[in-house]
Amino acid sequence: MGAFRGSISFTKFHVRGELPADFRDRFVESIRLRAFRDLDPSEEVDSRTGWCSVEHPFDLDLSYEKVFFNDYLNLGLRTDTWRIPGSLFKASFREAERAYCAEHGCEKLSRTQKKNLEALVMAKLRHKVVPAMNVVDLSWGIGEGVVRFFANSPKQHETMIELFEKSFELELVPDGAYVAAEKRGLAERLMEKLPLLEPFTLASTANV
Amino acid sequence: MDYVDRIERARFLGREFLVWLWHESEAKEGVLTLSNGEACEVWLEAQLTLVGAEDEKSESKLKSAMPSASPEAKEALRQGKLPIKAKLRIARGTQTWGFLLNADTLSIASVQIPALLKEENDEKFYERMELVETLETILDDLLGQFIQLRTSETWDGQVMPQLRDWVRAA
Repeated sequence: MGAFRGSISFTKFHVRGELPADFRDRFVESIRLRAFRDLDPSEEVDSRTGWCSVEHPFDLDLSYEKVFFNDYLNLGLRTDTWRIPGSLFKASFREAERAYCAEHGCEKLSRTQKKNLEALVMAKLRHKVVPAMNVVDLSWGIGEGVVRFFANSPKQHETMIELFEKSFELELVPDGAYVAAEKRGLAERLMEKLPLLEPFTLASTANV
Repeated sequence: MDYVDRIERARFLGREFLVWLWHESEAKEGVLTLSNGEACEVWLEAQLTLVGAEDEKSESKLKSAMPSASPEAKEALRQGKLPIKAKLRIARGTQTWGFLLNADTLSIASVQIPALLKEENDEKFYERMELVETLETILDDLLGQFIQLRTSETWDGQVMPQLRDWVRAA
């Protein structure tokens, strides 16, 4: 699902703050700084997130032409995660434990030895598997100040907002009735009233 | 109250907006008028989920051709439940959109857009965005009408009694 193809499902965010005069060049520079970097099996990180080309998730060389589409800034938010199947890890760990005990003449591992061995087994397995990749499209209509993020999970929203705000030094606020009223130019006295409203109920026992 | 707090505090209005839309659609046989005087058709169809205001776990998930027309749907309203998710169909002129609206976040999912004409990747993107933005403009217009009404004197004096009668009569 995304901006270019597939089913369309997205959450809208509003950009708050002033765009710098030379924002296009500046943004390309910031995006390149936060472009996705491949996971290295020898690193002790479970996942990594960064920007990629909206059209090709493996394209991490983000130039002006790959990011700006007229008045839109389009990016892919790529997250790679190591996912070692539990059964594979358990079997490999048991094997490593047996080998360690045979070599060192011990019957049982201490807590520290177990922890170290687990890390070792995990690192070995990471060399054998490919990280799971997740890519979500993001399309920022610069003129309208709206970001459409093509995923509706709160966790993905959190990750995106953090990277967006670091990259562009602008605040992102979620869409809602309040923002819609503001954009529509609802009178100031009504805007003041809006957050003070109480929810209604249609329950049959409610006061008529 | 800071800006994000104001957004969060007013978030419940999304559920009320869906009730209002549902009522308007039924009362006006699906034909609503946008602020510019243009007509558009709005129907709730296929999927409707309502939850209790006090107890979010008390959920009514209705699936049928027109779940909003079912006795269960109105009964859920009478039990104090409000819609959190609804499948909507909106038509304006020759264009029709189908989508699932999440009332709390106003996010939209599984959007069926009017047929695409462009074949080039970039052109296809611009066309998709244009169709999505048109849908958003219609939805924002309807939401704006609701908010205008919800914050006006008319709401308590006229709209709420109408809504109560509508729910009771079903």
